[in-house]
Amino acid sequence: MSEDDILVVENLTKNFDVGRGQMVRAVDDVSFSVKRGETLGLVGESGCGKSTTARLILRLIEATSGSVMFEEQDLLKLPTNEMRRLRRRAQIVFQDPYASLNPRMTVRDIIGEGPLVWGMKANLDDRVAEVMTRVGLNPDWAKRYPHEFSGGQRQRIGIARALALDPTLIICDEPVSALDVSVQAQILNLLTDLQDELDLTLIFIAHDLSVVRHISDRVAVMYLGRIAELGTRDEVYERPSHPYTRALLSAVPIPDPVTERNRARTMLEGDPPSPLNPPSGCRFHPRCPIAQQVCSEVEPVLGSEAVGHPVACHFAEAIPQV
Amino acid sequence: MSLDTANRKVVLSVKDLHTDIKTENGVVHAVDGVSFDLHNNEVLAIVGESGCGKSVTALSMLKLLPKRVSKITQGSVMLGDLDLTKVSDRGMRKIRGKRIAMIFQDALTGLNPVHRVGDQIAEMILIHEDVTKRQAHQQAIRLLDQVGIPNASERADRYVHEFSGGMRQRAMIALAMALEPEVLIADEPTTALDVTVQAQVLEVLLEVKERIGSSIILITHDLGVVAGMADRVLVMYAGRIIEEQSANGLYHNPMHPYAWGLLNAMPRVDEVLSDHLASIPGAPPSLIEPPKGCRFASRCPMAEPVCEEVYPEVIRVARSSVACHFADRPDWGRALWNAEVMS
Repeated sequence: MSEDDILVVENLTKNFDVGRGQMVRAVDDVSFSVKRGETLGLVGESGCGKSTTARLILRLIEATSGSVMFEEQDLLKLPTNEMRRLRRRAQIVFQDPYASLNPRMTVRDIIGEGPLVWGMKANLDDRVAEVMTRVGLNPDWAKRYPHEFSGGQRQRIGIARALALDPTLIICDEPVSALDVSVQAQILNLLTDLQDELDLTLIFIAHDLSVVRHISDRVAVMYLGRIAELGTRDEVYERPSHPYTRALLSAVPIPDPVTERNRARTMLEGDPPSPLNPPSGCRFHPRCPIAQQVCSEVEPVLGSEAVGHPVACHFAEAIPQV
Repeated sequence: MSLDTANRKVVLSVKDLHTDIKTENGVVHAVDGVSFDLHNNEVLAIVGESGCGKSVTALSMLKLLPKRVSKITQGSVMLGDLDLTKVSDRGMRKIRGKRIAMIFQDALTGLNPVHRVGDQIAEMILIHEDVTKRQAHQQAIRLLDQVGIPNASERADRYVHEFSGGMRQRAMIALAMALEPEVLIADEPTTALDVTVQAQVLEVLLEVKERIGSSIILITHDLGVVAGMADRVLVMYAGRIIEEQSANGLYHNPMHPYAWGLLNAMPRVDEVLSDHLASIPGAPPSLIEPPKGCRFASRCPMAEPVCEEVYPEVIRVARSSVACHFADRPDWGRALWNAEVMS
């Protein structure tokens, strides 16, 4: 664990028992670290295990194996009461601002619940007003209920709730994917500002590669429960070295008709396979445009030797950069 | 790739369409005076954020809105010489699928869960065309094959829940295109899909369109998808069209402040423009009692008193149009941006 690292995830694995003796490896041997003050983007298509990874880190579900070092302690080994204490420092913002706020609680109670649990009864209203102001909500609205707010405002409530306990780490699980683009921009700008002001560390989970590029310092690309590629924003977006990363990036439409219609596109065949029965060897090999015999037999390890940043591909160095 | 629409035949013409929807809180004027032409073999995109009326426009054209709560109060939808707003329910059944078809965001709404996928396509062919059951079934398999469903003859006997998300959208395209309609309305056809699958489905959609020579109305909130697909774009805001342009024109020279804001609020996968995105403050107005002036005025950093008072006249320049009092101001884009960054 280097000094800058606030969180180090090692060999994190989660098997879900889906009955009939079958197991889904939702997250399979995932390792990464997050530096203090940075934003790590976790990106991938549905079912790749990105949200499960978030929940495992905070122990909202229990991991099968692995370790999560946060503030010099392995979260996965902590007894419940100590885990609770650490959750003050690591918070989460959920995707759906409609489902993640209790409709029967006022905004004050939603935001104030954390501080209240931690005995900050005195000045609670001041604290609530302070975080509401910080996320751009009028503190006079504290007595209102979630249904009285728009989607963007609700997401601000979710962020205010996460901020109420002064966390150092916030995991944002698809925080803008339910929002319209103009409102999405408001929330992304807010997160950027909060991070600067409060020296926050963010793990930003999203399927939208444009949003992840905008907000992240480093990016991990996941495919079927594993990390396919991990690097700085420029490494991943300017020099993508896993064939999956490249295909993913080339599939994202660019809002410019001239660029969009003249770009070379790597079209992937088919859908991501079921994690119930992942392909042998490299999990991407059935859809990979450059797969060889070895890819179906040997699982590649995530290594930096080929291109300077970690890529899990047998032929990472062989792909010419475009 | 902007098409010269001037010489193309108009296949569908919507004039001054108004649709009201009854809600608990009052009557929502969801579509409030929408007019546009769809030309032969073009892709016309309607973009806008949730609640702007883009889906209600489409559903009104096909008369798919429940009568109990909704009403087309004014306007016409001309398909050739036929005004669809005046056609009976019975008459509409002959037009839907045959002359205008629709693809929905969620295939589970567009396809019946208790019938085999192939049977549903065959059924529609049987209703509209003089063929035997066997021929209809064969044709259904051929259609599924054409949209890239592997093993089509075996898949035709499966149910929609046995299909993946991408396969479902392909099947819905096969169903919509079965009778080679003149017009296809695609309402957020790839919104529920992963991006690699989205690319496949959009390609299939364009391919099928070229093969049968129909026109597409593409309804979406995704300006990236529009950039790759559309010849022309209508931007809707609060029940009205605020700008119409060729795709190239809109992306490179948006005229309405809302269109500008929308385009600059989107982060891009191919470059990082700035730490801050342009964001549009506030939210769209209620359409129960819409403001009398420009509906964007309360969110527009350029708004002046006249904007609150008078709805801007639609200015037509060549084949573009815009509804803004100050559309001719060259410096407003920058003004909007600065206002945003400083707020």
